[in-house]
Amino acid sequence: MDTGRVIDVRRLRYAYRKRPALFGVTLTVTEQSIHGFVGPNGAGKTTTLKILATLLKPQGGVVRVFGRDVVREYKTVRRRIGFMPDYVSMYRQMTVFEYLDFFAAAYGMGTGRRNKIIEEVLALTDMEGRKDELIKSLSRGMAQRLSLARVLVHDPALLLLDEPASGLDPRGRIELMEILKELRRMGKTIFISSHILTELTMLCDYITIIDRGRTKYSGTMEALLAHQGDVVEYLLTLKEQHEPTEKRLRELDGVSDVTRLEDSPSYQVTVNRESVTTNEMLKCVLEAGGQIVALKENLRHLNEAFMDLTEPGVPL
Amino acid sequence: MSMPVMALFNRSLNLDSRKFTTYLARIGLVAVLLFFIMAIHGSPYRVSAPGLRFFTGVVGTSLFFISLVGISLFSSVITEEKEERTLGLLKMTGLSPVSILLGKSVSRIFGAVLLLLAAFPFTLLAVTLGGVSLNQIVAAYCTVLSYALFLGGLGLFCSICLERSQNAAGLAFLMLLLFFFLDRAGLPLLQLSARAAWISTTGLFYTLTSPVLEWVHAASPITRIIDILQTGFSGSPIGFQVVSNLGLAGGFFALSWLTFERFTREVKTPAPSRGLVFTRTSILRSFGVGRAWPNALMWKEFYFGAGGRIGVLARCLLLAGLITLTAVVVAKQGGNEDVSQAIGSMLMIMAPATGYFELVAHAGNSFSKELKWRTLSEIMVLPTSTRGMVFQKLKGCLAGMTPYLFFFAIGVALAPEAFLEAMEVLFRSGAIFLIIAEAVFFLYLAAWLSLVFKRVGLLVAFGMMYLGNGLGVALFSLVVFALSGGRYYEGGETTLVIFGTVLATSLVYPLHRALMGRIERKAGE
Repeated sequence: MDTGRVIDVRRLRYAYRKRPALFGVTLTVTEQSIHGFVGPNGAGKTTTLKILATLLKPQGGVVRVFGRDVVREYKTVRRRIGFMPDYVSMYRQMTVFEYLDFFAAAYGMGTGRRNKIIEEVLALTDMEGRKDELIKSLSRGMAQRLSLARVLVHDPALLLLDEPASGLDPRGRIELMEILKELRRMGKTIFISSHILTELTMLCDYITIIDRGRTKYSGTMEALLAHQGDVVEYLLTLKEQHEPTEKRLRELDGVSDVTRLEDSPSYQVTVNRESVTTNEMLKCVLEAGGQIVALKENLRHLNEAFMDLTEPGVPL
Repeated sequence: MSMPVMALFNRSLNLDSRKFTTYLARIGLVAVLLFFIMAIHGSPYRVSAPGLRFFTGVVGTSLFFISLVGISLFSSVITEEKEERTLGLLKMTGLSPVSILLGKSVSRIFGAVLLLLAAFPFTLLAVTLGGVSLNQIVAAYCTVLSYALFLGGLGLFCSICLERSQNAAGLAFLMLLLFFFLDRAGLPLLQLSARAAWISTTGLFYTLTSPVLEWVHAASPITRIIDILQTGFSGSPIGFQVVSNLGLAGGFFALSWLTFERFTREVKTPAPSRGLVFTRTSILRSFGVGRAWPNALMWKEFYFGAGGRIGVLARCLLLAGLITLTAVVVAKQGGNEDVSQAIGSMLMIMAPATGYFELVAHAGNSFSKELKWRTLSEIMVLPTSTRGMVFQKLKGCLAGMTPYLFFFAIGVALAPEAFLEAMEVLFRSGAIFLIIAEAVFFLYLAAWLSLVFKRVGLLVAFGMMYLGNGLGVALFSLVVFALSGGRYYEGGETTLVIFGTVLATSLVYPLHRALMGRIERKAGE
């Protein structure tokens, strides 16, 4: 096993009867990272997650979790993962405590250890006051929190979360993201599928984009969002609008476009990385008398990368 | 009917016609009828009035089939909309309650009638075979059809009152049991009580109860069918049973209509019932759920499947009630029978039989509930094998059934001679092996079919066992009869027992594999 490699998927294939779902998905998840998993509906995200969770058997390729084969060593894999499906599935006739106690016992924990860990996961998910409530009386957001608490109850090193924020209100989503950040700080590796790209951008270190059962991108979030090739966009903000600076920039070798953003002292400057450096650009602005407030590289939004990498339409 | 009602009717009819179970029921019924024809054809010289024999089988099977299919078919009419959370949408379309009830239930009744009519041409053969008149056939069909309508009304009412199809089917089944056995158990008990001078025949209780029980007796399709199958029946095809069953059907429909708004006003999020399992904050927490056992799945199944401590207590009370009833009946009969012997014999039969059927019901419900509430994937990611998970669940159910074992042991202690005698007979004939093999097979079959058929798996399992055993025995007898050149073959029964045991045993392993595979597939869906 490679050091730090928690999930290793190579050329994964799967078909539901005659309908192929995965055509060779390849991805790697490293230790103690948050790895986003995105793709359009029907791309194969849930199928991949279910295979990683040992609920489905891969029909081709290699799938290893912590270096263990998910088919042959499924019991070992199950002990080290926590899987949260994309729907709320719970024993709704149980109370919160009974539910967590049941799962903790199912993972072989003694009563004393169970008490401690239940208290901890309830505190982490902010549900301490609800342990004697029936699950069926919980709201959707609370049920999602409990589902996350259940996933954590046996202290797994890897969390497989399928759309954990679906159906949550904005506050619920933000709180969930905070919990996930806290879990990363605790040393967990999180593999999360979501449609909410803005939140993934802020949360994830790595990302995999799949479409129609194929991996389109798998790597760091930074590399995905950086502009490809030599052309870079900068956002230059001055103290106030300054015509001479705009003019000097246009004349600078390697600058292909300067656009003033409406009613603001900000400019979008498109440059060729090979022809002009950031320092040269800054020197040019200062020489023209412009007062610089900020200069930053304009990264692409995940939405754009997603749209570029995936095909339109719904797979048949 | 206005057009929206027709649209609803068409939709329901289309959906029903796409269901595999619809065709399975028709094929099953026609297969049984064909078998009856073959059986009669194969033994023309051994049976007097072959037409009547054939017809008796056909009517009995039709009644059984319509009861089996009807309970599941009719009691999900409205509950399926509640479960899918589409009833509110239906109500928003402006359809009146009566339109919804008609649109939904008429298509089901249509399906049930079609099921019965599919068998009608075959039954006319009974006239050709001899021993039965056309009037008897028409009268029998009027009986079964009116009973189907009554069942439709009863199922509809249950599906209005309750939130879940399974509960509605359970309620309909209980009410039907009451309908069929109230007169058969009630009338003798009433007469016994009167003879024992516990109640007066001129008293208010007797005066009120007796006509009700007699009315139920006359309204029962079983009573009516027995009358019709008498040789020389020349009564009207439309008897009291037909009128009363149609009246009951209309009554239940009206009741459903009147209570529709009341029971469907509030849209409840469907959730599994906790039953009488008390929480740890309840006053009755000593009867409630304790901490999870190290064998957690067993704990879950014991408390949330088999009813926990309250369930154990209820079973003890049921068996204690049966003991009391047996003691009272034996004492009042005043014969030479020993009370302890009678109680012992009763317990030795009732305790294992009730326990086993409850276990089968659990096997059928356990996985279908996990599927229904989408919790199967939760327990499938636990670090245990599928087989381990199934056996843990089974152990939990068995833990709830311990009162049956305890009372069976009491039965053995009270009547040891009867026990030894029964064991000797069972071992000598080899029937014990057949019983065990069939019991294990049926358990697997119920569990597997509950994952194949939504809602009706358990009923299909019962139907398959009933038909499989009936057809198996008849087919085997025919083969033995043919091979022995039409003479009585002494070793026939033993051969049948060996054949049945080997067949059931050899089917257990493939069923085990099929069940495990099905669970894994369903968990991944």
